[in-house]
Amino acid sequence: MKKFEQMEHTADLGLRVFGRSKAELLEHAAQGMFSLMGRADFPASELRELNIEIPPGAFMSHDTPRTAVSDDERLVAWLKRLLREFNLRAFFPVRFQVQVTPDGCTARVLGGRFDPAVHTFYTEIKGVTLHALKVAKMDSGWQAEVVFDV
Amino acid sequence: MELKQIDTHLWEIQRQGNMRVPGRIYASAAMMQQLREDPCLTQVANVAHLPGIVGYSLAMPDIHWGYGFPIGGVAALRAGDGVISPGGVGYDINCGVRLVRTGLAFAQVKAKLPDLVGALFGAIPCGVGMGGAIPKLTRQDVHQVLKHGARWAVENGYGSAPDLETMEEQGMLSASDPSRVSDVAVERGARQLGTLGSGNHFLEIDRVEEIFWPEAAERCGLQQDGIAFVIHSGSRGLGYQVCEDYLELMEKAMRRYQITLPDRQLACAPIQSEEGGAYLGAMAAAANFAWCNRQVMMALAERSFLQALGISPRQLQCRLVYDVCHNIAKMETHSVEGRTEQLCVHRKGATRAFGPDRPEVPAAYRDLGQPVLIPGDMGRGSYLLMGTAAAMEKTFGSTCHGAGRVMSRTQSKKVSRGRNLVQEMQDQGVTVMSYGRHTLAEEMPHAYKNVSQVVDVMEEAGISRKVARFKPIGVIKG
Repeated sequence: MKKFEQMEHTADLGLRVFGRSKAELLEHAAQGMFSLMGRADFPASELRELNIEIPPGAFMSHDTPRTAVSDDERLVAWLKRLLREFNLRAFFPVRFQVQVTPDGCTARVLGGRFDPAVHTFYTEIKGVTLHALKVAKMDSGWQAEVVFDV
Repeated sequence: MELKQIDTHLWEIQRQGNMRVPGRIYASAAMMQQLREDPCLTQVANVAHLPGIVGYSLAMPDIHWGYGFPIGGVAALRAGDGVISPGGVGYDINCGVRLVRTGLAFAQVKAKLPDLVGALFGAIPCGVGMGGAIPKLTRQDVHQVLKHGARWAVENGYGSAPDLETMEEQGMLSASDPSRVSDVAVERGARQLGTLGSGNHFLEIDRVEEIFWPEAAERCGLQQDGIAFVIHSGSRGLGYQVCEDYLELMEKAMRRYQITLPDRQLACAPIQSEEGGAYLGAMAAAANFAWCNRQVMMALAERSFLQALGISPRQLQCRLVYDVCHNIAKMETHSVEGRTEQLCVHRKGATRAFGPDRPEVPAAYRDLGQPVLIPGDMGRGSYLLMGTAAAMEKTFGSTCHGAGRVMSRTQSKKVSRGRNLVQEMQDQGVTVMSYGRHTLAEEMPHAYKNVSQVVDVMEEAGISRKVARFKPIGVIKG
């Protein structure tokens, strides 16, 4: 099964993602998003583990906690969370193990620190948009479409 | 999509369904032929659904498919009962352009161009998440930047006070409320002040190739064959994070205020609501960060010119011509059907282009109109325009912002495959240095409309007037 493919979009970048399950769909979406951003191979000694839980808690310090419940909200929250790890800590994930929960997901992610001097950078992703966002059950599994602002 | 031609360069999408106003697109017949099947026209219609929109959902001739709003979209919403939409501003809040003139002639820099481009590439970090242009800011420093915008840069040794006079809003929106900006956004901003970013952002050294309006060009300090530089960048990760944070908040607000729209990326809240006010404060703070960012980069570029060319500031004679934003929502006063109204004007890939005699236009240019900077692609160059009285009547004082893409990034990469792009640009007289492996391939001239055609539509429609055209000779990109 193909994991993901790029969709045409004039100004930005779109991905169509496939998975046999919701969990696999999330894994492939993350792989697809980071394949647009760059390429990084890490020796085993440089890999570290990150445990992620969605819902991630408070939106802002003065706001109430949120939950991600629908399939498309879960997908966007998951991708945004990984993007945040990259933007704040240069964490570039390479392997994923996702478990879907009723109000989000939990994941064990392996990755390393992205070093622009060592690794290959392709394109900066500014955000995961809600435009034309789709997550649907197909005969062969699950399919999602997501557009990134670049 | 059914379109009615209103004028030579003006087309209308008539009201249908729940559209509150018609849509209007400025484009030549040839451009419209290409646009007819493009999703961007549906986006013009979608924007027309926003509560409180007045006049028309507008699009400029560089319109192309975005998310939520089309790129090149303009919408004015009543301050009293209208909404504000982060999707109508975009992730890169106050992405904008500044034009800096120098006293140098092309002949003086030609031989040293590779050194100059190299010096700029070394001084101004480009690319994903790159920081380190200046020492990392503390949280308190970032809050000062969010509050004071470009003024913070000037007070900390980046540029001089006269620079502030020739920026839109003097480089600072007073509505800024740093307390509305999340800790994550502040953290992302702390390392990124003075950095260019990626994608279509650039710093370009230009040669003044043609002057159309000598009086205005002289006022801007531009001469035929003179050297200028253009910086195109925005609020970096801080602005992206503000957009992301508030899109979530607005989605909740939509349910609370029972607003339904055809695209979730148009998520919005009433301007007068708690959510709308919070976003306005956070967006203004991010806009201030962007002005400060471009101000710091201008100062770093000026130092690179001095170092690479071995000249003094007196010989360089750098002066900021103007700085405009093209991703913003601002409270402005406009005339609507004979009444003066306070409006929240969203410009997403569109530039403010106020006509003569508006108090917002700096005194130096007030009798001529507001300077407008239109970057094209790396090969074909950029334009300086000025706003007109007609723009105030027809487009809420707005014009285009660039060439506008015609080819997707994926397609552009396919077309570029196997080619030596750096050499191709060099053959066109443009020295290019870029950081991203794909950036050049995605940003080649073939991916864009011809900026001259875009600018001509705006001039022939009376919306803005051409002052000068610039030819790139050196470019750094993320």
